[in-house]
Amino acid sequence: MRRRSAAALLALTVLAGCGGGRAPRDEPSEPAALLPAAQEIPGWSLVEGPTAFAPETLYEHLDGGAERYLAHGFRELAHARYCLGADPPACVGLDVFDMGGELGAFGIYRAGRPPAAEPRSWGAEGYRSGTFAAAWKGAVYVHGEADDERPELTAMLERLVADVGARVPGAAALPAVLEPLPGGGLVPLSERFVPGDLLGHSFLPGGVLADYELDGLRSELFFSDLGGEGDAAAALAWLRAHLEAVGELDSERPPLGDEAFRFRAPGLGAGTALRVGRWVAGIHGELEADAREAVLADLVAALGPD
Amino acid sequence: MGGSIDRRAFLKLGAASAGAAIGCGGAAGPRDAPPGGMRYRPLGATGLRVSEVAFGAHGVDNAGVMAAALEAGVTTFCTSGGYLDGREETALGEAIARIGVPRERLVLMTGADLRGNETVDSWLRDLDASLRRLRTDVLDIYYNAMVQTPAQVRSEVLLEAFDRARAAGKVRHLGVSGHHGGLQECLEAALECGAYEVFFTKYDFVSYPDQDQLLRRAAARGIGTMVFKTTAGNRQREIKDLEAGGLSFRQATIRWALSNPDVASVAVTMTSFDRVSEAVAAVGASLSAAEVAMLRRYAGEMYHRYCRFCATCEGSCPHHVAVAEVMRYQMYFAHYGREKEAMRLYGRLPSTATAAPCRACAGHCDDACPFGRAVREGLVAAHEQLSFARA
Repeated sequence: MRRRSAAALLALTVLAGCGGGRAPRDEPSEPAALLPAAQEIPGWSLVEGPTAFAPETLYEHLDGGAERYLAHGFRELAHARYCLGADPPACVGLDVFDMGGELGAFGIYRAGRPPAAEPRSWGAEGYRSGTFAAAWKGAVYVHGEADDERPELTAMLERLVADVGARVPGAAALPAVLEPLPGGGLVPLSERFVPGDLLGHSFLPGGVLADYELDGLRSELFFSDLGGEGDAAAALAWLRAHLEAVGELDSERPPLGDEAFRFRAPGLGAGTALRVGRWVAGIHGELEADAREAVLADLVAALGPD
Repeated sequence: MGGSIDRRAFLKLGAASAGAAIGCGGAAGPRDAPPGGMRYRPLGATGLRVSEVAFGAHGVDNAGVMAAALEAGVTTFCTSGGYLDGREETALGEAIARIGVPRERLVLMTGADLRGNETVDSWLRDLDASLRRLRTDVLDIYYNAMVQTPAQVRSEVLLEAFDRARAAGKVRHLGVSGHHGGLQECLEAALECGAYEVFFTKYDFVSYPDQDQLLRRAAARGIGTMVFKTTAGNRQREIKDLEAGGLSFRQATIRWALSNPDVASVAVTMTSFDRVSEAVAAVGASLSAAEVAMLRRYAGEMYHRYCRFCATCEGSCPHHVAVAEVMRYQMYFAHYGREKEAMRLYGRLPSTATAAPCRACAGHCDDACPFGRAVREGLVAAHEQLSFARA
């Protein structure tokens, strides 16, 4: 799909109305239909867009960032810019993404969330950080940026992102793929979904990352679904070979099955990796072996052999 | 439109860029060396030596991949404080700390775009925040990012703030970065300004035909150049079987950029171990004939998508459409991220000069175009994109 007619999108937006939280829950979540209508906000006008971008034109809007969105399943983006006054205008840009599914929306949201961002109750989750704000729910990821931190701009920024988050239908729950993560020591909001090349490896198709902190030491837990035991065994062998090449393997084996091994590698620290059923999993960082393997054992129990 | 173009037409694609650079760069040059090992070049007169491939940290927070890049000899790391409120700088700073690489081994650069409401004090606070996130006391290069106008390049606030920061030992060199339609003007302004020591710029074999000459003049003044976006739009997926049997398209574009002795380094986003290997392997010997042919093919496929704004076809138009102006505005809209400006400019055209009548026209302009472009089709699409402002 090429860029849609801006006039047609504007008509769609106006028809959809602004509504905020008043929108019916079964409202379609096409990005353009989720853009708030500027005429319902006194003093503000729509000065750019709505402009739609498809996968083949996304780079025109995001340049180098487009590839990351495409990897997360991006389908369509509606961009608009709302301005207060005219000379000079003070504006807020808003991007509403259809990421193709909740994993894509969650993944791109968490990947970009600044660690010190202030949480907001928008959609499934949201944040504001300086002149940026974002939220996700269902397949929708929304991101806004104000020109500066003037109160009237940041208030509009928050309103726009909250408005989009409220208009997306469906439940506000985290993706089910995160459920196996152990609760003890889990650093809040540290769970991420990576769509491919988990830990930077092409032989791992993607998966989940989460941070664990115990007694002031932090490590990163990971797991990836290879789809079958044979493929998982092969991927673990590749991982082992890589870690042996760039770092070193520990001759002492962890009590977590025949294929489990301990390693130390540049950038990763000390870690343990294993296979359980069709999954490859592991943990690396600062935690001592006993502590990190206790977290890993809880994950193994939750993943199960199947 | 087909992808084949004759030799004469190809050379017109961009005499200083695509034609000359691909043609000359393909020949064996003085830099021939076995591929695969990292090499280093001086960055203008800064005294810095940068790796020919630099680590673009955009969207990367994997310390293992960064460690692999370091192991492969990559010493130059580029990030930005303007992206996601410093999220990238934080990730890069954490990774460098985790790897434990000595700071003096690295060339570290970051930057941010000016919003127009900065003060010297606010800029200095932002710089301190970048230093904290990157866990360092000093930056090697700070770049004025995403410049679109010469006024942004000459910002008195930025220049004064930078001088203060340098006097305080927080930053060593000032750079300028951009990839918008006004890039050439901005780089010219940076040349005249005298404060900039580094260009960090988009550079490819299709766009900006005057850029080689500009970089030559910059080098003569001691300005070092690092580049990015060498893939000319990254649209290789739209071209079937674009391969040369050796380097990938992406690798060939890196090697093409490095064939210019005025380019010190190519910044590449390295999201995986494979990307590190791919980028590092692009360093070394000159382009092969097959790789040159691959870039020529890409340029050829793009050839018919670009209007040169020569206005030759306008004489044949029964409706007096201002073809060159319309297509220039469409280029601003579609390829330079200047949608608002493009629509505003289009809105100012006299109604008789717009492309409104083109949809129902027979397309005499198609026959008149000396480059064989489907002009009418382009005008119809341009009118659809640009006419919102007139509605």
